[in-house]
Amino acid sequence: MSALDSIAEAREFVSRFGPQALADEALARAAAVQPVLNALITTLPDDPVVLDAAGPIAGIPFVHKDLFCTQGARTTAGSAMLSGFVPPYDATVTARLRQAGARCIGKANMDEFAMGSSNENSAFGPVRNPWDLSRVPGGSSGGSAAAVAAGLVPFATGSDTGGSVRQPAAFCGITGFKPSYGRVSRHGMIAYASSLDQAGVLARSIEDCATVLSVLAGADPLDATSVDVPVDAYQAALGAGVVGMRIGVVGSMFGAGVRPEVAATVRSALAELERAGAILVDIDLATLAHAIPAYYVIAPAEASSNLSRYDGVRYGHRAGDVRDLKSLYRKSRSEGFGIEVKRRILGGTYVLSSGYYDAYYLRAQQVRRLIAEDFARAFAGVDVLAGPTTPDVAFRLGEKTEDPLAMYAADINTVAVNLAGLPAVSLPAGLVEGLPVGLQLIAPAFGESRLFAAGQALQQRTAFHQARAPEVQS
Amino acid sequence: MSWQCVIGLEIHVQLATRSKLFSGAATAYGADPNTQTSWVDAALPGTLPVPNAEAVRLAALFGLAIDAEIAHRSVFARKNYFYPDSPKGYQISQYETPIVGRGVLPVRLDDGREIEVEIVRAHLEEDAGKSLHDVFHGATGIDLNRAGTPLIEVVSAPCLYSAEEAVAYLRTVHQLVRWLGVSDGNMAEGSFRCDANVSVRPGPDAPLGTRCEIKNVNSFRFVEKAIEFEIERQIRALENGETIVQETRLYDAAQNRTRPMRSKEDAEDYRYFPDPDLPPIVIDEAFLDGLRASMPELPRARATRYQQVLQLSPYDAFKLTESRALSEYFEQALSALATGQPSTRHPALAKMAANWINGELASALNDEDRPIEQSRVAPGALAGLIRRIDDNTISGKIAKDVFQGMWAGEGGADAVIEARGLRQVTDTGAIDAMIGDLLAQFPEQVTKFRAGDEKIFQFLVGQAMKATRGKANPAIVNERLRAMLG
Amino acid sequence: MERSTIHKLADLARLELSPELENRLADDLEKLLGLVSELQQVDVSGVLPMAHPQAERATLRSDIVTETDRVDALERLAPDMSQGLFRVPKVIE
Repeated sequence: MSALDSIAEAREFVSRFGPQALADEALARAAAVQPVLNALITTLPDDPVVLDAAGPIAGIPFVHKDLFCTQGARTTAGSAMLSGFVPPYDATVTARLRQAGARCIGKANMDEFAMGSSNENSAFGPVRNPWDLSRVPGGSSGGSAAAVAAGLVPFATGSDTGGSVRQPAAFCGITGFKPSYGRVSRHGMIAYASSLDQAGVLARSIEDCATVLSVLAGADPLDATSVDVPVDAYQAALGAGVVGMRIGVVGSMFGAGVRPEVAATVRSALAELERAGAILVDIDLATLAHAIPAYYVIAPAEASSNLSRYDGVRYGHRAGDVRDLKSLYRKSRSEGFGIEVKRRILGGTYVLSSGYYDAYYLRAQQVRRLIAEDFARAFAGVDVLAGPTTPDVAFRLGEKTEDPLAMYAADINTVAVNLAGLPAVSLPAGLVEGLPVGLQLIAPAFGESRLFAAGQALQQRTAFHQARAPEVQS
Repeated sequence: MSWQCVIGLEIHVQLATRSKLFSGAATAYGADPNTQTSWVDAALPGTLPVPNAEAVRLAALFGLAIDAEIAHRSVFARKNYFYPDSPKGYQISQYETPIVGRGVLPVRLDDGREIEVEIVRAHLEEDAGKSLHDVFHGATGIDLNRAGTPLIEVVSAPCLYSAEEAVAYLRTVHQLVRWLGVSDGNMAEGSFRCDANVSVRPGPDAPLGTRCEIKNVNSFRFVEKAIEFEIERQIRALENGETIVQETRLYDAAQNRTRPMRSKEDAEDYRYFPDPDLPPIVIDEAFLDGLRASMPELPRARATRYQQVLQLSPYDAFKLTESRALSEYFEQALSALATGQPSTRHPALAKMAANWINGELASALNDEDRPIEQSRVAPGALAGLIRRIDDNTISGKIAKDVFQGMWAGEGGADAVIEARGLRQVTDTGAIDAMIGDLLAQFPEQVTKFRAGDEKIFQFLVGQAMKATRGKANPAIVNERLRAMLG
Repeated sequence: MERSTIHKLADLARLELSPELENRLADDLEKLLGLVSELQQVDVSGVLPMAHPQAERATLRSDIVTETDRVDALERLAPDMSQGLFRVPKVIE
C-alpha cells in the first residue's frame, strides 16, 4: 500500500509530512512511469495550491483530464489544435478543486476532444494500460484511468460523454463515477457534445469518488444547464447499505456481443450484492438497442458545431502561408484536427444538413426520448439498474483503429446513460484472464446516493477494487 | 400593366441591456477594439452562454406591446456558418420557437390613413462582431465588441405595398421600442437596422414575385430611397422581359442604387439545431402579468386619448406622442396648467400647450439639435408662461419674446416679464389716453374711417400696438378704439 | 457516398482533405450512416424530440457587467493580433 492509493492514506501522509512531500512523491512516481504509460500530457511540478484550505481533499494530489481549463497551465484537449493553449481562466471543476486545496500534478492524456474509447486518438500519443502494456486503457479519459491504476494519485478527473469515465475505469480496474447531467458544471470543460458531456471522477474506491464529487457537485451560474437541485450528503449515503434495494439486472446488457466470462464475472459481483441484502430483478429495456445509433447521430452533430470555433483566428493552431480566409480556416483545421475528429465533424455535418436533418438528427432526438422514458419506466420498479460496463476486457493497441465502427459498437452499454442524462458508476468486479472487468450501476437522475450506497456495499464485501495492476517497470 | 410592389421588413433592434445576451461583457458603444470582448464572446474553449434575464424581459415586453403570443418555452438554436465576425462558427438565434409569435401593429401614414401591419415573429439573437477592412493593408481586422449584443429581429409579413408604408411602419416600430425602453433606437450606432424584402407583381391578385433582400440601410430616408429604387429596377427588368433573381443586394447611398452582393459560392446550409448549451427559456403567466402591469400607456392609446378627451387635432395628438419623452413633457406641462382649473377648460389649455410644444419649443430644440429631455425650458416653466397668456398678463405675441428670454436662461416667465417690462397694459384709462394721442396724430385716417373705410381700423390697431410695443391688451384696444371712433 | 457529397460536407466544415483521406472518410461515413440507419425503423410518431436531458429551463443571469477589459489576455492567445484587432486575410464583401 502507498500513500497515493486512497484519499484517507494520502490525508494521513499529508498530516505527518505536509502536502509538498506527497506532491513530490506523486510527481516522482509520475515521472518514473511517464515514458511507459504516457498518462500525462503536461506535468505541473509547481501548480499553485490553496494552502489554507481545509476539508477532505486539502493537499491531496490529483491528475486532471486535459480538457478542464487550468488558468496559466496549458490545456490541450489532446489536440494539436490546442497544443499551445494556455487558458486565462479556470474551469469551475478546476476552481472547486483548487479551493478545496487539492494539488494538480499534471494534465491527463485523453482522446482528442474526448472522441474515442481507447486513448489512441491523442495528438500526444497513446496511453498504455498498466495491467497489460500492450493494451489500451480505454478512453477518452484513458490517461486519468491509467494514472490512478498505476498509483500516481488517489483520484483523477474525467469527463463522460458516452462512457468516457466508466469504460476506462472498467479497463483499468478502478471505480469511475459519472454524475447526472447538470450535477457538475461544464463551464471551462472543453466541449465534445454539450447535451451529453458530464464531468466525472476516477479513483480506486467508491468512497473516494463520493469525497471528490461532494466537492464538485452543485449549480453554477456560469453553466445554464447546471441544475439547482440540492446536493445529497454523499458520505452519509455510503453507509446506507443495500438491504431491500431493488437492482434491475438488464438482460440486453448481457446479450450478444458480451463475452461470456465478462457476463459471468459481473453476475457474480451482483450475487455479492444480493448476499448483502439487495433484491435482484430481471428487467429488459427494449430501446437500449437504439442507443448506439441515436448517440452516433447526436454526439457528432453537436461536436461538428462545437468544434467550429477552432478556426485559427483567436487562439490555437493557425496555418501559415494561406491565400485567403477560407484557406486559413481549411488549413488550420485540417492541420489541427486528427482523423477521428474529422470523421465525427463530417458525420455531424451530414446529419444536420438540409434534407437529412429530419431523418437523422430529429429522429435521433425522438429516439432519445423513448430511451429516457424506458429508463423512467424501469425505475418505477427498481432502484438501480445493473450490467457489465463493457462487453469485453481491454483490447490491444491498434486492434480496432482500422475499424472505427467496431470501436463505436463497444460503447453499447454506456451511451444510453448519457442520452438520458443519468448517473452511473463502473465498479471493479473481478478479472478475466488477468484483466479487469467493470460492473455498471445506473440510477435515476440525481439519485447518486443510491450508487454510493450500492458501490460501498460491494466494496466492503469484496476486494476487487484493491486489486493492483502489476508494478510498471520503467 | 399596373404593378404592385410587396415589401416585408426584418428589423434588428438592439436591446437596451448593460451586458451582452450571453456574457457579462458591456454593450456600450464606441469602446476600443476588443476591450468589451469576454471569454464567451471570443468563443474560448469551454466557455458557455448564460442568457441575460433583462434581454428576455425586454423581448417579452415588446411582444406584449404588439399583442403577440409570448412563447412559454422558447428555444435558442444555432445557425452554423464560418465568418470571422462570428467567433463560435455559429450564431445563437431562435428558429422554430421564437419568444414572440404573431402580432399586429397599427400604423398611421402621413396622409392620415391607417394600416395594420402583421408581425410574423420577433426572436432573440446575438449580434455579430465587426470586420474592419480599412485598418490594415491586405488584411481585415476583427473587433468582437459588438459580438453577443442582444437583438430582437422583428419580422413583418409581406404586407407593405409602398416605400411610404414601409417607412411609416419602420418609424412606428422605432417609436414603440424607444417608448418601451426596449432599445435606444440609435440608428447611427447601429442599434436599429433594417433589411427589406422587395418584390413586384402584375397586380394584387397575382402570386408574389421573386424577392430581393436589400441590406445595409441605416436611415429612414435611405430605406425609402432604396425601396423606391429597387421597385423601379424590378419593374424595369420585368417590362424588358427579364426575370428577377433572388439575391441579396446592398444599397449604395452615394449613388442611390442597389447592387448585388458578391454572391456566395454555394447556397448556405446553416444546419440550424437547438443549442445544446441552452435549455428552453421558460416564461410563466405570473411573469407576463407583472410585465402587463408595468406596461406604460402606449403611444397609440395616448394619441387616441388626446383626441377624445383633450380634443386635440390628430396632428397634435400624433406629434406629441412621437416619443415618450416629448409626450411626458406635454403631460407634465398640462398637469401644471390644469391644476385648479375646471375640466371644461382642459381642452383649451391642452391646445395651448400643444401649440407651444409643437411650435416655439420644437423649433428652439431643433435649432440646437437638442433632445427634449435636455430642454432649456422645463415643462413647469412652460406652463408658467402659458398661464400668463391665459390670464392676460401678456399677449401671445409678447409671450414669444418671454419664451426667448426663458430659453436664454433669464429665469421663469414672471421674472422675464418683469425684467423686460413686458406686462400687458389692461388699464383702460391708460389705453384711452394713448388712443386719444393716436387720433390726434392721424386726423386724416380718422376722417377716412368715419367715411366708411373699415380697413383703416386695422391700421389704427397696429399703430396702437406699436405705440405700446405690443404690450396693450389687443381686445381692450379694439374695444376702446371702436368706442372712441364711434 | 457521392464524391460531391463529401466535398460539400468538407466545405461546410472547412476541412481540407487529401484524396486518400477523402476516400477513407467517405467509406467511414457510409458505414456510420449504415450503423445509424436503424433509427428509420423505430416508431417515433408523436414523440417529442429531446434536446436536453435534465435541464428543463435555462438558468438566467442578471444584467450586470462582470467582465471588463481583457484585450491584453486575448492578445497573448491570438496568433495574429494588432491594434486590438484579430487579423485575418482580407475579406471582400
